[in-house]
Amino acid sequence: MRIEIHGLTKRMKGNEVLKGIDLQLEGGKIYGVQGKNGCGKTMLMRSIAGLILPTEGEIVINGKKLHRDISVPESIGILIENPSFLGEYSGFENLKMLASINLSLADEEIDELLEQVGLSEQRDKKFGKYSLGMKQRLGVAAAIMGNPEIILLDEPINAIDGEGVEQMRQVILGMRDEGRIIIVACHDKEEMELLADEIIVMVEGEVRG
Amino acid sequence: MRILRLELKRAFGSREMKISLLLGMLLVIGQVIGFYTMHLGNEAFDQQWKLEDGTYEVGVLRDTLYQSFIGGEGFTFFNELYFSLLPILAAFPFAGSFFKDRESGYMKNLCCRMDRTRYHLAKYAAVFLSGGVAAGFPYLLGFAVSALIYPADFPNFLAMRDGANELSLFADYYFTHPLAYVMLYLLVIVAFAGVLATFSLLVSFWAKNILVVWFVPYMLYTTQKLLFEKLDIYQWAMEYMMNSQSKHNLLVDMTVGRLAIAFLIMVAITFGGFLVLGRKREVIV
Repeated sequence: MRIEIHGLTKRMKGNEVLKGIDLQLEGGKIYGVQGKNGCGKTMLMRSIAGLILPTEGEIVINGKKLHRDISVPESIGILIENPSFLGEYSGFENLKMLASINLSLADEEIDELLEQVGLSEQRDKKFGKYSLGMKQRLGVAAAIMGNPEIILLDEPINAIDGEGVEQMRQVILGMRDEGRIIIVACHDKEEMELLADEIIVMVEGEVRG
Repeated sequence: MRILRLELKRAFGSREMKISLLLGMLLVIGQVIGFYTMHLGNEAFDQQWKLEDGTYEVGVLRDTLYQSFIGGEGFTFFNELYFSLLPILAAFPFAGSFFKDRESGYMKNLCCRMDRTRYHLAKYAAVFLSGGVAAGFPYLLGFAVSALIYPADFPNFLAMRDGANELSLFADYYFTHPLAYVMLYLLVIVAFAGVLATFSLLVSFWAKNILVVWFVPYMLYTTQKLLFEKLDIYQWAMEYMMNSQSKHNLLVDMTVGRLAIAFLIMVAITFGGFLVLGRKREVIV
């Protein structure tokens, strides 16, 4: 598993939000993206997920060029910005509906997933009635559902309590050990150092280290 | 297509769909009570035309199902109300979902799992179908309820309250196969209401408020009617194409060809526009 990013530039409304980014990302590693608000972390993740068309440059995933050979990465899970699900459906139903698009998961597998992120007891509760922390956990569950090869997590531990943070950490590390490419953006520097194998520092749309 | 199944499930299971169906049901209840009070339950009205031997004056025949349900009578104001509110009934159930998916970020969950064109196709189909079903529901329900009250006699050409004349669309069927006539109009309503709802998808790319998304089909529908009346080309107004009881439908030569052209133009605008705009957007969500 390999992601190559060459000269990725994105201009929006006259602003260059990503400036010629070059990165090589490999499976079995957690990449932590650090930077201030508005430095381009989320934009980089959205670009890798195929949700934004680059102005210049290219993203190559396992030898396939994004937006030319493939329109979206073939196996990806994302939690970018706020976790968004359908409020009138339960956590279980939401996952089941998403899984029905491109995966074949049994109900038991979805239950296991909910257990992994600590949402078993809230399985049948409507998403609209979830607390912020529960929403975040469901977002992580959706991102790792079906064991995708690439996992993008933007602030995955936001609003999650201490015990939950440890639970999420174990989930993310477990996925890393299975050879996934995991990219995590997180404001908490300590957490980032605990999780990430490599840190990518972004400043004003550029990678500085 | 799995995404289509998901979108249909969302469309037909939505709270908005239930509200739209409930509104349609209220229209039908109002029409049934109104028409019954006006005719069958109104002895004064009955006596006006009744002769001493119990028969009626020439040209006055008893009410038949086909002239008494919400889509077949133009006497109560419910027929007009139904066809006026039709774009809202059609757009409310699911036409705002694209806007909501985008605003809430839910679209990210979908578009990272498939090519966005597939999502757009499924969304278009679900909005079209849910809009058509929600708008056609009062017509079908009204027909079913009226069938419990009025005899399904064939409409009589001599009746003074004919719902169609020789100029009307599908007039041949009205007098020979009235059930087929009703079903054909139902099809017209479902098709036009469906495509009307899809105009909401087009404006969703720019709209900042969901009310705009919900009401654009209504505004378009009403403006088009007023404008085309002013230009004296009212036979092209959507409302008159769908409502067999509109005065224009009884006065002009409404043809299947005209309906087909109007429908295809609208589909080309909404379907083509939605796919092209969706494809062209650099920021998908």
